[in-house]
Amino acid sequence: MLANLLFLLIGLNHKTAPVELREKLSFKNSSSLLLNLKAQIPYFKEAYFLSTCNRVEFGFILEKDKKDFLLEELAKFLERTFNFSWDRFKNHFYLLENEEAVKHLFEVSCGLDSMVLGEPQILGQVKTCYQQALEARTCGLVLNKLFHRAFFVAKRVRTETGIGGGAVSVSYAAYQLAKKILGSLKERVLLLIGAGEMAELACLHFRSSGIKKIIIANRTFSKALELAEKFKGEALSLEELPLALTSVDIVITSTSSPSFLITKDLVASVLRARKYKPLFIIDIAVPRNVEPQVNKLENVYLYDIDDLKLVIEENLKERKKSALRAKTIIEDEVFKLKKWAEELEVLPTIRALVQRAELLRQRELAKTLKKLKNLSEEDRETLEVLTRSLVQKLLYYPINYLKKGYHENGKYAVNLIRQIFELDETFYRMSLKEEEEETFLKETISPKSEKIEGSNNRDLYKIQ
Amino acid sequence: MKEFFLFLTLIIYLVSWIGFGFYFKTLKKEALKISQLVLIIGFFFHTLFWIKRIYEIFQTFLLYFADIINFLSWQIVLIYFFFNKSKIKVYTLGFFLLPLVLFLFILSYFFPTILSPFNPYLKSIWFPLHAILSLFSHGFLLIGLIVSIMYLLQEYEIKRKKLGIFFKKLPPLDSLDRINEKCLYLGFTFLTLGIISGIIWSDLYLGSYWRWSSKEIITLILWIIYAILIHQRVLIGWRGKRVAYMFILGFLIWFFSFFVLNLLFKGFHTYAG
Repeated sequence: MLANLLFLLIGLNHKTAPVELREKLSFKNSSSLLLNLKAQIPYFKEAYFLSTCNRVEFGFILEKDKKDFLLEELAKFLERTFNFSWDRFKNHFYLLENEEAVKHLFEVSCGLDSMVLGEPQILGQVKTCYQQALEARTCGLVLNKLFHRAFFVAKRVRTETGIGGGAVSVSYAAYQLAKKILGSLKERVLLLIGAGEMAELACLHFRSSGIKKIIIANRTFSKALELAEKFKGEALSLEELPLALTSVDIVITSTSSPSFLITKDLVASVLRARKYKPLFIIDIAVPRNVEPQVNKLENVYLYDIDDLKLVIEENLKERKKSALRAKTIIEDEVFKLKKWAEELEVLPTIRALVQRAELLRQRELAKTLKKLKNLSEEDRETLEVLTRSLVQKLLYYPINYLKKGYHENGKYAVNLIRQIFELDETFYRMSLKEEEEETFLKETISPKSEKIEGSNNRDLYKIQ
Repeated sequence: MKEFFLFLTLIIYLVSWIGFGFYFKTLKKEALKISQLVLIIGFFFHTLFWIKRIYEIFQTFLLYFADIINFLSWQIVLIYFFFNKSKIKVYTLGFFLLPLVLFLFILSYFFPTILSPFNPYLKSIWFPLHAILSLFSHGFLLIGLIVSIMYLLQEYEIKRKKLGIFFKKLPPLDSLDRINEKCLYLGFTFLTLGIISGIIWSDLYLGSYWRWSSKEIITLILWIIYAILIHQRVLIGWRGKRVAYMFILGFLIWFFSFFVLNLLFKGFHTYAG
């Protein structure tokens, strides 16, 4: 990718390694690890360390010929730090280079490599990882660019593909459905019948969305009271269920009752009292607590656990489709980054070209100014500006040619420009002269620098 | 009738609809904002046209049936902006509503010239008032129809547990129901005012306030349907699907009265003959 630099990514994830190994390698504070790494291995220029529950990854920017040394040292380092044998677990690691590695980093940031496709937390984790690499001062030009690009790509993928859209957990799917039926949940009342992990999770989802009130009904009233305290709601005994049904908007049931708690007749009898207000019933109990026929009633929507799972499956399918589109976006971005890296190689040539032109300009200008002695300060400046813009305008073409041509003709364009402007041969000569010339130039043409110096002096006086 | 402003408006409305379609597809806020802006520009030209046209009508006292249809499309866009300002947000409404606007617009554009039989009455204030109030009630009825269709599509997917494209793109059932409610109340108010102003006009200039013409009977039926609907809604809580079906029924009656009765049957109040 880069002229003589290499981006190397070594790691393992939930696909390649069992949890025991991932546990072993997990390291909370990556910046201290990076500091150790920096102290013990001298072969890399930049590095980062990403550790989440599903992956452990090292990224290095190093010179190409030092790759083998680095790998050797890294294996030793890992054995020392994490106390495991490298040879035994070697096969669980993947080793990616350059484009492949960049692609992988982008995919990780977008959540394409996650266990739950498209989950958003990973981006936060990558951000922390970058933060810690910054703290350890192991980030340089290349990694800075890489990470910023990765964040940008993640954002682009999220807005363009909808990979984060559609609920993939039961509780969130229930919440999303409630939103689509009832609109704003601010003025809504939720009734939770029974208890259970999933029901409580769903309850939490609704709570955080600012639902007005949560009522909890349970066979054992003390349990209801306990939960009511937890959710800051009201407790109710099961006998009061019909009454409660007249006023609530969302019902979540998850009791272990063997027969239907809520029957069609029961709901039908409260419909008029409810004035046919929409009622959303989520039945996550197995066996079911709500008679399936309830869904047939007007403005009553019943979803049981299988329905919700079906919704999730559909959403996951959608996410898989989005992932395909996300991959093309990532390809596109990897290509852009490649271009940037190539630009870096062109940059020295452009810099040399500009330097050369500037030197010529200054020399020629100095010659002319020597002859024109009666010039005012203003006229000198005008000449200065004129020559400067002339050089800029003329250089625009070769620089443009360099940038464009480089990608089409490879090194040919760089070579051509170097030949035309004799950058390789004369640069040596020019630079030798540079010192003499600069002293000479300062005397003749640099009113600007004089001015700045003067003003600086004045400022100094003021401070004193 | 084939005016420059009119043609311009048509093109801009079409562009706006394409924009709304793009919003429907991508749900990008920018797309919505741009299409609404385009719609406002189109509406501006439409209004300019109507200022000119009203001036013309009162100069020549020649009103055509096509004018009525075109005015209705202008009103629907106006009501769209009215709902857009309200708290209940139905962002995808534009995509569903503009085809109706465009349909009415194009219909008026190519409609054969049929003179209104009411041209002699244009001089009094009561006839234009009666016409505009009635047309507003039609406008709300038509928007209610569109929102009802959206409601039925959304309800269908949620009830059948097949969450497809409409589930994702259409607003919550509750929002649609509330827009419907507003359409119902406002449409009913305008219809009542339209009938009252008509009665006054008829009494003042024609000597009798009610003449049991076919159109009057149909309007009365429409009014009764509205009244029943409101009664049921307030007392029993009719909402959602039932209201949506009633809107569709109301629309069919309106369509019959507005196009079939007006154009094919002879009689007082109609355009045929």
